[in-house]
Amino acid sequence: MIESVKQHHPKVSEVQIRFWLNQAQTEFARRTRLLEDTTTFSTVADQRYYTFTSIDSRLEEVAELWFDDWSIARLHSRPRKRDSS
Amino acid sequence: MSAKTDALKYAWWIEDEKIALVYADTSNTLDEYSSPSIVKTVTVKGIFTPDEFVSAETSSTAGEAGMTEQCTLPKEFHDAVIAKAVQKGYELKPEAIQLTSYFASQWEKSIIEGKRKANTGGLAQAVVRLVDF
Repeated sequence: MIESVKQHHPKVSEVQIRFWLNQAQTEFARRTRLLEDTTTFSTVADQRYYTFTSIDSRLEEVAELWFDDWSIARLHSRPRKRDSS
Repeated sequence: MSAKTDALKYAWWIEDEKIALVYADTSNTLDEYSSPSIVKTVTVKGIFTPDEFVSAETSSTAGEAGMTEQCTLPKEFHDAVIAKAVQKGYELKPEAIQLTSYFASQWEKSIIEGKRKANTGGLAQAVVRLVDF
């Protein structure tokens, strides 16, 4: 892919082209929502929140979740009692 | 209690780009949820961004000239990614700025195709998906 871009911009560095290609593919994936995939993580006892980046740096949106291989329900609002753990 | 019955007492939601996991505590009547006290594997299905391109020096095939990693987007959209990169290059050249519109239109056409592919979900016709924003 770098070579294809270099045909148009022979004087531009590989680092710069790679930066453009990364920007382009990330924007493409975000706008099309084309890359559907799964990832796994292990829970930590008594921990409620898990950041997207700690689970997988590529994770953008969550559609479904399985806990111990069982699909579990999604709450559409947080529980009334707060817990910051 | 069966594994199924137990698992179904868990629930999740999204808050500030975090997944929240809770266990419904049935020992009280306050609608309380506690954080899970057990360690289990959670599988997440969702939308991802592609793997970033890295230099050949930092890839598993170090020493090869140029970039050896493949774009993780479907092959038919590789040209779109190239078109966007080429467009960005022409944006820096005032003498060739008119070329940006051609590559921008190629890019936008591919975005439409990409959305169409994403929305069909492998079926021959489009399916309606509910999306939370």
